[in-house]
Amino acid sequence: MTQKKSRPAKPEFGIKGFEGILFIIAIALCWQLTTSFIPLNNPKLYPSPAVTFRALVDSLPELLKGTWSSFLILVPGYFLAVVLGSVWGIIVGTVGWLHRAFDPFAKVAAPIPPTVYIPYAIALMPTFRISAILVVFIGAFWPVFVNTAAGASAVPVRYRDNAGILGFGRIEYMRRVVFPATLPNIFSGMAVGLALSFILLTVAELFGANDGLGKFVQYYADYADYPRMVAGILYTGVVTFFSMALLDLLKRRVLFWVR
Amino acid sequence: MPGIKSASGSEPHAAGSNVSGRIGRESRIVLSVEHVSFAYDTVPVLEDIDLKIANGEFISVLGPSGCGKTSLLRLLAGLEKPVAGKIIHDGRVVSGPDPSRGVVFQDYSLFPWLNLQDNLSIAIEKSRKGLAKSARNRIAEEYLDLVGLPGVGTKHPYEVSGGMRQRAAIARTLALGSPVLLMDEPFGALDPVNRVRLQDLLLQLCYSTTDRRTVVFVTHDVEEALFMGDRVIVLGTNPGRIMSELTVPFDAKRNRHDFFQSKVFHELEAEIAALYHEDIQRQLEAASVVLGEGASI
Repeated sequence: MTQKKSRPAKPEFGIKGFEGILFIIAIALCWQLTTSFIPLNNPKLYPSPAVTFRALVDSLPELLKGTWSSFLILVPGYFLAVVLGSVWGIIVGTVGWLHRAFDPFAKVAAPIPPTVYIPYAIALMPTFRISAILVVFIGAFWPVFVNTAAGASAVPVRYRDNAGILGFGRIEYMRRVVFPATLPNIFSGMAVGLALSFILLTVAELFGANDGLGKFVQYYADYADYPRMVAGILYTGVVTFFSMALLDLLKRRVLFWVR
Repeated sequence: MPGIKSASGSEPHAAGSNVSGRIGRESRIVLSVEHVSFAYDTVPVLEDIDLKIANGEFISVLGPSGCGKTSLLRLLAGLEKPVAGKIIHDGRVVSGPDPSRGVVFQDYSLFPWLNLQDNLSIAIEKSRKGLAKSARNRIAEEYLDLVGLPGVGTKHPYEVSGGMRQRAAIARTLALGSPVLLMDEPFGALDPVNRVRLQDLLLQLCYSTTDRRTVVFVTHDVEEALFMGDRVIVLGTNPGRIMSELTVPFDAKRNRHDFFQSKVFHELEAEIAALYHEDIQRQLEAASVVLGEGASI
């Protein structure tokens, strides 16, 4: 009777990872070959991998400083969006009349591309950092909220039944049943929200930052230093990738019970 | 445990009355279903159900799929509201779910994100307020021991077998201290061996504890219904209604093997078969009448 159901491990760095690495190597090779053999009027516009890599190493201190500055915007904005989006989503998804009241507004407000708020946020807020945090917050809030509310309003009847039998009150039901039952949805919203946060962060920085990842790319584009600019793009990609991977790791740890 | 003493006051095994099995005649009524009808939207599910359940009684509700037996259980639990009639538990009209009526579902009584110990701990938190976490965990382990699950408290529901999950679900309901246990085909998804084991465990728990609980046990299995119940409520279909109530003489049920060999069992089984035959006949006739009318238009 004692049977252990060991879940099949997802192939993370197995064949799949190997193929992925192979593809990246192929891309790099193509890049190298095209830069060596295609004559360009302005070779500076399309730097070779080696040149770009040198530019990356040279500007690493500047990029790290920019990362720090970007994260001072991204982390507070995203964190606030996750907390408020999931809490409000659980409440709205659970309380019938609130859902009816808030849903029409959400349907109108959620699809507005958050980038359109950037100029107004910059005009409205005292500093660039606060306005950028606000924009990141708005951008990440909606996906988190929409996913959470959808999950909370569709909590399986069986959980509701069990909560009733255990005598849970409304608050206890939300905290101990709706919240864990909705966690898979919250994480989906968080993934979309994080990707959007990076987009909004870099776009906002193009507008008015003194520092940061988006600013770095913008700055060297203005000075036509394309090796550094391409290095900045690659570096931003790597940072985004690791942020998403970190979120995925967290998701796997928290959602261990989801089969 | 907020248990309820057997009203007969006698040893459970000594209850010799053939009328209501393990309990004496003077037992008070804990659950009373009064002319209850139930429908999903406009589809009638249950019609005019009238049922009195005495304290400490083990009631089997038997019926084929679609007869509304699960609906009856959900009504008793307060998870559904009757369209007509009312259900009274301990003098109060049932208006919603309550820990005093614990439910064991077929396969989803536990929260998958909590380990078995924490699943029980939640129930203990409700039945015995103000206990420290460590004390609750200790009691949870005791209940897990009681249902034959020693030392698996840290496992999560997905890590254990269906049989173990149902054991834990029973333990949770016991830990909740519900005087009334409602069970919706609790062993329906189990293999035959585990099924027998859990039937025995449940009976053993019901016989041996001093705070005997009232059990309503829903099943579609005739043998299970007769073996488990003091009384078997036989439901007919379309809409669900009580066709008959059979009392199983307790004396016959000392031993599984003897019981299934006994004359009493075979007579009751035949009676149930006859009831269902009649029910099917009735429905076929009803269907042909409808068809006839349709053809004439």
